[in-house]
Amino acid sequence: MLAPLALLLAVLSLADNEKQLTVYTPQTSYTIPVNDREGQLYLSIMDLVGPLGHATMRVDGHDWKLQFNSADARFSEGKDKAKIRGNSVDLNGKALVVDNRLLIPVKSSFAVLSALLKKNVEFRPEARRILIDNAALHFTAELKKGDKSSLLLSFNQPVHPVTTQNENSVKLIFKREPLVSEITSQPFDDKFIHSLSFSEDNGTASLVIAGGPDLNATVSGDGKSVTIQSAPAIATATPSPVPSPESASTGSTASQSTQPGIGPQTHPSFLVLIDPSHGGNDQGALLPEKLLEKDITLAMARRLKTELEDHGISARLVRDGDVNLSLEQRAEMANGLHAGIYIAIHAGLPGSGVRIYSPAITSATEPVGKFHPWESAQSSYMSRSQALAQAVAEEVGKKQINVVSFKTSLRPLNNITAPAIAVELAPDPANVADLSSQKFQTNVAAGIASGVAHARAQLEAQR
Amino acid sequence: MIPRSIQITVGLLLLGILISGLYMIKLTHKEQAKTLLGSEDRPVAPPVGGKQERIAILVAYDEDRALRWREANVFMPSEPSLRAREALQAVLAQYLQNPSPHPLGKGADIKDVYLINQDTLVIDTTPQFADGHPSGILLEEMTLTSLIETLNANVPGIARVKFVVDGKERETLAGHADLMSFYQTAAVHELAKEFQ
Repeated sequence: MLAPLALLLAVLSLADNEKQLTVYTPQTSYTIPVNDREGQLYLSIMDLVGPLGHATMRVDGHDWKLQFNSADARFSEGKDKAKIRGNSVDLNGKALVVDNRLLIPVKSSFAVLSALLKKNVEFRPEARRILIDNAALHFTAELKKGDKSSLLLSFNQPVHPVTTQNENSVKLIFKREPLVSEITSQPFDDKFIHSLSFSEDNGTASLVIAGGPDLNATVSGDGKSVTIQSAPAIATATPSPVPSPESASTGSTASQSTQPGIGPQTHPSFLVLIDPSHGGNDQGALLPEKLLEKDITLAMARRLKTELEDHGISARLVRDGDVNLSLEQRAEMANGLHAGIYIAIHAGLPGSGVRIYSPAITSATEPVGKFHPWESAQSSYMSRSQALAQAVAEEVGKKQINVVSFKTSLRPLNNITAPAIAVELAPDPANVADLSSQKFQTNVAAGIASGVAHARAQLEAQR
Repeated sequence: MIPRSIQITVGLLLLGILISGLYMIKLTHKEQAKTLLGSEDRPVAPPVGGKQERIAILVAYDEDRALRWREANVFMPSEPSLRAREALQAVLAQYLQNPSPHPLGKGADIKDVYLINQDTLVIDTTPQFADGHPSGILLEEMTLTSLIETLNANVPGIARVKFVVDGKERETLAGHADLMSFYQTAAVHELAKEFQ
């Protein structure tokens, strides 16, 4: 009887101890496995750089030629030097080939990424964390003394920590956030809150708050504040306690955050990210009457945000001004924020109302290991995107607006890891003025918001 | 003695002949310049062999927001990449006529077509194909879909298609349709049904 249980415990123990490395950029973060080989830790070069851009590997005998965006690199099996952008880079160990994958020592990650990206790379080798382009999340701690003292942790970005509660402490585990701190331990002269300590290990960062019994943590302030206090839990300030794809995809996260003492407000909120397409030098389509697509999309996006908020749905714009943003940056923002829904706004002729596009993966790129290719990152969300498109089309149609739905291979929809659609304002050429008409835009925005509200429950059920 | 009136008339006639001559020379130069400019817009391609075939081409019609099959008489070589180029140029010829069902920029053309591993085509277009393409999701999708579906119909065995512009990769055709990916022809075939 005990043998299967012991085996299960052993497997779980191994899973817990799996070694990993986390890479953080200002837009996103990802964790990759590392393995012991020949006395040191190794990782797959494609795992390391694949999510950072367009990477392809070509094998030529013992040489492995990596094309990463515009950079070239050559690795040779069994050699401890690589050629990156024409410069020799020391790998601190031999490059290995295992299961048709090129492995390099973890220690060489810093040198390889620095040479490939030409960006600021910070490597924390003991914690196996890599921060690219100054992607650091900082926090401040403020102790409020009183009958029930509380500790307010303020972050410069929204956070989604996994919270675990022990007898006399609360632990916040930051798996995706590039949390850093110069101070490892901060004692407090208080009978409820005794100390705050920061640690980082195996690709994650943690904050442990020690104190009296029944400490609990609540997230508030759009996810930028965490309050630690003795039970009972303080009221939530989070507007919509709906789990994001992040927490939904990791069963352990969901189960831990529902432990006694941890309020539902620790769930990240459901966010609709609205992308007013084009902007800056990219004017988009040149429409009649000197209208620019980039201006219409921004005006429409602002109206949609207002309508969504009127429905009690959190919304955010990818841009709220006339700025240049690449398609990659737009997708990275959506994925980094773990948006619940992504909606791109477009405007174009000819048409007869509104066109709704859901993504179609026409790309022929194959997955690399467990990573989906950037070109088809959307593939796991296709059915949800189609359900969203259908709900939005139905609701916009109810506003007496002609709606046509298509599937399309449109960037950045195919790069988004969330239900994603594009909405194109496309009135009849005889009614071009509708494009900038407040009445038309508000009517369409109300329809979209209503569609999102209807689809939300269904999308969440499918998570 | 020649009367003064005749002297003036002859003088005016000579002046008229001179002005007409100068104007003719100017018109000739203008035509030559136009011819030269036109030839620069289009790539020089070798003469095409093969026999004339009646092929099916998928043509975009902006007014109806639809794609429709049409027939065209084209000299089709047997070599797949040449065959692909001729088929694609037959579609573009529809778009470059005046009036056009789906206007493209002047000089839009196929520079070359490369066949890789017998199943992948890389289509190199002129810069004008992308630079002069009207911007809009639907218009761009219709262009790519009509070209890929025409390949599907006339060049058997092509599984993947990639577009480059003047030999270089480009993110989008005119701000919308994806040019970075390799298109799976089977997937595009399914999408094309929505437009027909």
